Amino acid sequence: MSIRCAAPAGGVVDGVATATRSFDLPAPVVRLPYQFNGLSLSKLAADLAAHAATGWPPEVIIDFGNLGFVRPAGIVFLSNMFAWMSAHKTKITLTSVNGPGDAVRFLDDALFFEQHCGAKLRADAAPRATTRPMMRIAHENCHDWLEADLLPWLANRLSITKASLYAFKNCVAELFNNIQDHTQLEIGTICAQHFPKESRVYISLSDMGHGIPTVVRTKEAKLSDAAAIIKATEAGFTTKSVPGNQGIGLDYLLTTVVDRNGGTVSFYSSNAIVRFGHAGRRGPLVVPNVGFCPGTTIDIVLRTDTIEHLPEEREDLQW
Amino acid sequence: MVAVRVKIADVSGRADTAAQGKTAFRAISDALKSGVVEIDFHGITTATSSFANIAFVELLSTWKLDELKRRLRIVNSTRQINEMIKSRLEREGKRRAA
Repeated sequence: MSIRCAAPAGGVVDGVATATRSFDLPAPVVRLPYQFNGLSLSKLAADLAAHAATGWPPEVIIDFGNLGFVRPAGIVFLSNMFAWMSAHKTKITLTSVNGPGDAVRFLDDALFFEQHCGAKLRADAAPRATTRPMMRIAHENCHDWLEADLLPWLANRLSITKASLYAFKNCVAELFNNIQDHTQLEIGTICAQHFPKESRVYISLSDMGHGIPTVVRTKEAKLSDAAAIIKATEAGFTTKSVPGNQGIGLDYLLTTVVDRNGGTVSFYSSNAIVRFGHAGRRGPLVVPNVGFCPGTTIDIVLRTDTIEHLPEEREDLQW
Repeated sequence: MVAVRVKIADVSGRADTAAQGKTAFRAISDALKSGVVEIDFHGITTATSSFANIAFVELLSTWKLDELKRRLRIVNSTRQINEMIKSRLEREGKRRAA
């Protein structure tokens, strides 16, 4: 089965894609990897970019036939890629979306096809209890979504008070503000998934802005991509693009998730992958990257067994 | 001394953004002219650094940290909000005093 997605006209179309390209060239085919997670998203972007060496093609075919497993980072990145291509009037055709694997069903349940193609693959596709379906980060309502959707869902999943999760909620709020501070684009996506057997919650955000290294190099011109990401996490480092941004958000994220919770935070941007919390240490681990990650994707992994349970009580500040 | 009450939910709605921080800053600054200010976070669960940087850290341009600690009472709050306000003010207060 093939599906035609997004621009210029949405909708599900059974049968072989009939779209024709300008210049009489066949539309390039990009295969999704078997394991589609943070480590493989740069490769996908590189594969796409390789077809754009002489200009962005008017149509791209995305082949789901090899896809075996997808993590939230893969979902949000793919969603952003689709949104970006749609914004650039690229026709997207999906093939092999009817394979036996669960990954496509999972994407369907995460409402991926409904949001990008206008319809679900299966009529009974619906968000799973362990997942918050991906959501586009629209600046005007992203904080409302955190309060009214992500926070109560996570508290219910973990059977703990919402107060126990306020610091984690604020981590995501800080990232929303960072996206707003550093990009004019609305192309950003968030997705969350609970893995009960692993005692982990994954929260992944992705935006198609300039990318952390590019923004950091407006102030520290000589830093490599990985060094720029590490620099961006230092408390007090800021490019001062807006008055409220004093370079605290990413340090707050690492303090809350890595130092206090024992989780991990991974950054994927430009030619760098940097992970904090590897082997229980905050110190950054620079992971060899294959390809180029446009924008920034951040993967937050929370341990659910180390979250401090707090009562739903208000308190006064003691100086 | 009777404290002037500033209810953040009424003034800025939430404590998520720098823009909300600016609204709160104006209300707190005005109230500080009268003496002690009780800042009520009833109904608000979290405060971002963007909010705290504008609503509270900007007060250090007029008031010293010790004076702010005497004049500001943060009530009906959460641990996250309190830690954010305290850490932002103390870090910036020390930096400016150095």
